[in-house]
Amino acid sequence: MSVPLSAYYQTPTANILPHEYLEILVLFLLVFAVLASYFRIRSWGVPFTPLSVLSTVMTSRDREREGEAIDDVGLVTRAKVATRSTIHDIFLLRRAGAWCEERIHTIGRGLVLWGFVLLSLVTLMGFLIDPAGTPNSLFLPLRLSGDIFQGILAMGACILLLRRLSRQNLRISTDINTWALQSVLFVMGVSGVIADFSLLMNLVLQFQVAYLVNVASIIIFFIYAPFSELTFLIWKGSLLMQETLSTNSAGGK
Amino acid sequence: MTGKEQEKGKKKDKEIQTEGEKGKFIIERRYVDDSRIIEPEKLELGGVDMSGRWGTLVLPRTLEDFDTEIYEDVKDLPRGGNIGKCWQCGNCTAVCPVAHEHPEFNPRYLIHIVKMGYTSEIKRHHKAVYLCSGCGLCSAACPKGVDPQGVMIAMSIAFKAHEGELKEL
Amino acid sequence: MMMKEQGRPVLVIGGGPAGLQAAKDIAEFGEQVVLVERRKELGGAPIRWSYHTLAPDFRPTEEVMGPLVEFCEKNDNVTVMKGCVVEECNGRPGEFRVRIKDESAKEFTEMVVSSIIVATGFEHFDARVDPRYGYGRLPNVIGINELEVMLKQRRVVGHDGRPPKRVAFIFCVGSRDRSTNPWCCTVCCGVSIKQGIEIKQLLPDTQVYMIYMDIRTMGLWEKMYWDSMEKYGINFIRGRVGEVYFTGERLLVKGEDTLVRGPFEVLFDMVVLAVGIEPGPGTKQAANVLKLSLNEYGFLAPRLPNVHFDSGKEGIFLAGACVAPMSVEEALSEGSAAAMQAVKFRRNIVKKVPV
Repeated sequence: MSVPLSAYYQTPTANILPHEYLEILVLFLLVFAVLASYFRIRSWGVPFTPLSVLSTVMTSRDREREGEAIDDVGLVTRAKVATRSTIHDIFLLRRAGAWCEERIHTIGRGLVLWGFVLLSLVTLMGFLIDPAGTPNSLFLPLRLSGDIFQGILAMGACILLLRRLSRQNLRISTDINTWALQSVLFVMGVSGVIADFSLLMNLVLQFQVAYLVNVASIIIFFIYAPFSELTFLIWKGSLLMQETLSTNSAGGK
Repeated sequence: MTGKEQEKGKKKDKEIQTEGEKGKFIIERRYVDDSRIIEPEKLELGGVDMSGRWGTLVLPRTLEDFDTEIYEDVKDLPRGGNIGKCWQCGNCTAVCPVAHEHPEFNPRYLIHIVKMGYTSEIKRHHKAVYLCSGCGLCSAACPKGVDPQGVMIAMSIAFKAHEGELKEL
Repeated sequence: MMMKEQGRPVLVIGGGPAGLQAAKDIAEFGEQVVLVERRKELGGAPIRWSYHTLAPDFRPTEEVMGPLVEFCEKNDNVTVMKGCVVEECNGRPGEFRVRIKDESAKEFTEMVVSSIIVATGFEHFDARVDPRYGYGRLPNVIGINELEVMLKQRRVVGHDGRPPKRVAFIFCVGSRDRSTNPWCCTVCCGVSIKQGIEIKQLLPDTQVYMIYMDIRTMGLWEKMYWDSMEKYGINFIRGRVGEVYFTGERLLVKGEDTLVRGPFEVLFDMVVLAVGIEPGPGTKQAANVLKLSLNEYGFLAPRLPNVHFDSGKEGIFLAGACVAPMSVEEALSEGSAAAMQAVKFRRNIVKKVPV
């Protein structure tokens, strides 16, 4: 899932999936994932919190507390609070359990989070700069960073998997869905790295196999994610951010 | 007490009251939960003005019914199905890394109050469920296969769904 | 009363599971048995209290008790004396001279027996002694023994004839308590949970709450505990009940839930007390007549606490709940063990019970 090298167009049997199709496929999968998670979350009887966060940031509301109406807090302030909360809670891993004893667990989650987010950013940049995927000067840095981020993603997922595999009581009590989610992320990261390295070393067959696995894992991930605990985690994270916004932006503590 | 002394006393009481801590005068105050102390500004009983210090009321904390609506919901939400198996041994809380840092998060206790349907306790403690880090050590330690990690997920959703009923009085 | 003159019989005092099993085993050895039972029917507690099923597998009581009672009543080697009490015992081991009184006919029988097995069983704690729960005063407060009768009739109703919507079981009534009985009755936890499950089977919409200090479902009885929660949705509150009130319509149970560290006062329709096992008048009487020692709890004291059948007196053996609280399966085994000792003694295989 990264910007192809010019070599891509030169290897004869490498044209498994034309680049444009890949973009459309990913877009379609993305829309599906969002819609599916929306309906699943609503079926639980709770609001779709990622949207609620946005609307809390966007809308203005008078708030009354202890009989006194507080002045409405402006959009800029709310956006600032949202950003601060996002950085602190999500990217500094507070929600991943940074305060508790299990450091390795937090690190694993952090790597997966950062790896996935940065990888998506790099891929998006690649698609936006040149949808057709023709070689240009930005290819190599984008492609390389894509590989690094895939590697980070794979490392994080590997840590999470090993953590659960290494302890017998954790291993036997882990839910099958947890195994599935972590395995898909691991395969996604590893296959991407192997594919690109194979391409660099001109190993055509290895590249094709790894690339197929990579694309397959991406498809599986987007189809599976709405039904996995990832949906719950994103819902919960958004809920907590929304509550932080509601209390913080009211001007009080 | 002379009228002047009474006035002075009342004024002092009001000062102390407005200074901060509710129910400062209660002996062994630390055993009483803040939310159960009521201090109305004006209180008149049988024609006698009890405002101020004498008007401090402490609500009882007796649990009065089993309301298992939330429990039934948790059983149907994803991964909450095994909550009925819990026999309150406390292995989950014992290994929970969050509970050791934040004692207000107690998985055993949350499961008990949901199963019993002690609504007043749920109102006091439901916010803590979001502290769960999802590490899964509880499910590894549980002798009954309750999967407390999953039950925390289900309860997080259920508490949000019942948000209206769980708002503080 | 036919008795074959084939030598001195073994006297078994008590016609409950232990006594019946002992009598059966001795008879099958070819020896004579005289089985004396205080009440007008054989069977002991399971028959007297109409046990519906036996823990842990919910087998019908008749399956075990039926063949035993039938054997003892029909077998030629067993002479059953119902409604009778052993009044006097003199003589020496191997030649005990006993006087048995028929309570209703006011007649006496004298006989010589070789050995004696005491299997006088237990009584349920009378919960009127502990006024907390209102037993005997308030409607719809019953004991597990009374509930068992209702379960046997497949009809669990309150005093107003209506099935209860919410039932509380209070564990440890008349047991584990210095002010009543300090020992543990071993079987009440299992029996209460068994009954809780049977109530749920009869009345699936009824809520059942077990208010307990500990759950002692020993050995293979544990399965009932797991099933009660996992299959039948029975609820468990760890705590004690301080008092039960009657509001005029329902029962208000006031106690503490120790897991919440808070008091509760909740309305119930029926309260079932797990009334414990205690030594009965038959045991006291037998101890008097046979000059056996009782331990501090009033149970018969064997010579060594871990060897129940050895009373310490030659030719006299002990079996069943008169020695310690126990389940039906344990009482049956104890009856068999005592029977073996009695036959060995009778046949002069061993003169004295070895040290």
